[in-house]
Amino acid sequence: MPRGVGKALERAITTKERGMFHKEEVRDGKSEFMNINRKEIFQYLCLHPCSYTSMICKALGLSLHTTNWHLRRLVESEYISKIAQGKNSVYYPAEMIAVSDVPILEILNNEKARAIYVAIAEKSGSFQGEICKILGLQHQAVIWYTKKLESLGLISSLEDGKYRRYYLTELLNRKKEENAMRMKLFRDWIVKRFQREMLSTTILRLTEDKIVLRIEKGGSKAVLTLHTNPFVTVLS
Amino acid sequence: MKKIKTGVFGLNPLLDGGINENSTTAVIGGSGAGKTTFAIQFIRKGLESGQEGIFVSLDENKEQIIREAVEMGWEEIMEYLKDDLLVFIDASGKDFSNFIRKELHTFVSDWKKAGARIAIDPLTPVIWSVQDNYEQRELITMLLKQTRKVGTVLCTLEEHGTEGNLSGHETIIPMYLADCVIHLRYKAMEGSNSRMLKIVKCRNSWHSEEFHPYRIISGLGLVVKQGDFGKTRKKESAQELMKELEKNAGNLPKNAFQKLKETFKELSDAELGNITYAELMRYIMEEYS
Repeated sequence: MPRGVGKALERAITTKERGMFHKEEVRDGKSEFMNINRKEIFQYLCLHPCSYTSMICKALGLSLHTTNWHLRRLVESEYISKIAQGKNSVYYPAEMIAVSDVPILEILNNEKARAIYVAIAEKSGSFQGEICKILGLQHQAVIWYTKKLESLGLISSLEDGKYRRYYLTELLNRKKEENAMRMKLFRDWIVKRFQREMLSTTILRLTEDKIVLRIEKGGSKAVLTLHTNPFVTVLS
Repeated sequence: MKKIKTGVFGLNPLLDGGINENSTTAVIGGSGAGKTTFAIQFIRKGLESGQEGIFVSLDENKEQIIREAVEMGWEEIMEYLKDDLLVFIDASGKDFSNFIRKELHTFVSDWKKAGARIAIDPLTPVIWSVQDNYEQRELITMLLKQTRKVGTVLCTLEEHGTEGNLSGHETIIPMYLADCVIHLRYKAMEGSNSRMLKIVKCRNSWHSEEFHPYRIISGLGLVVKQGDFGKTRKKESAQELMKELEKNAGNLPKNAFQKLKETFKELSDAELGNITYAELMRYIMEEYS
């Protein structure tokens, strides 16, 4: 039997402004981001691109049905892209990442994989037993995730007597730097996209890897905080 | 139909073992009758059996209800709250009505077969939030039809107006729509013997049709006096009926004979009430002649 029905009902009843449908919302030029849920999903995907629907639901406290509905809208309006990973799909903001980087971001969105990566970052040369002990994970889980991280080039390993020791590679740092040009392209793309939709767009704040925008049209407005370098935020 | 225990001492045999799983029950009573106590016992029993509990309170606040539960001897309520196995939701009638209209369907499609116990105490403010009778009926129909897909539901209803008169507009619609209706009749001025419980209806289940005295006992909650229904229901009439049925086997269609044989095996004296087995057999033979 599924668990968590009480908390889900509490959220559904007591969250006043959230709802799947706003009567005034029509697809006639109004921005997709005037809807609070859709805005929050897009912001979340900028922070954690290549997330599964279930991750988004959990992080934002939305139902599966609501989340899927908004994701469909964002895919149809080409603000986000969808790519199959195994039996499910992951979502990421369009123009933000190269398709070849999807597996890297997808694995680092996984809680256990991320924890293992961080543990190796904190203690270079850790072996499996140490990682299991620090993180309280089963051996099989550590073996599976370290294999996966190694296959993607995020970590490397070395046999040292009876132990296999793990080390970080430079891949993630390299990706952070390489992505600088893509970040700029993404920022320009999103601003141009809003302007094309006749939204009055004001950049409120711009930093190396974040942009805060206000968009307005016909009395409605929204403020979006978009992180633009996923290789910086993926470990947060 | 699978039965689940109500959590109210003495009540389960009066409902032939408990209430039906995934059904809706309305508990109606005046102020002080024990409706909230009933609802707490219902939720507690579910938690003890591994079901999640949801208490939607549209009247008292959460702290008051928790205090009442602890006074009833249920100290471990805090543990269930901490683990989110029990969730208290404070809501207004209007909030809850809006939820039923706009979000309930989506919620149920995500959470059906969760097997939870849901108490709504009281449902009356939801009914009052809608003026029109037709809209009220639509709203309550939607609520009861949908929430039973999530689990087993118990709503309490305030009894207003003349005591014992359940035709008041706050109660009539839920009484029609609920699967099981239990009336807690309480006359506050009459002293200690003034509390009586009656099962008004219970779909797909045998139930007692008598009035049963009940008390609210500190540390236990509601305790219902069963009277004769507490014992295993006698089946003496069933044996006599079987003999009569065998005698008339040649006068009945084969299918009907088999069906009646199975039915009589389970029949008890209490179900026949004041119909004798001879009368029953005569009515059956009239039907098939």
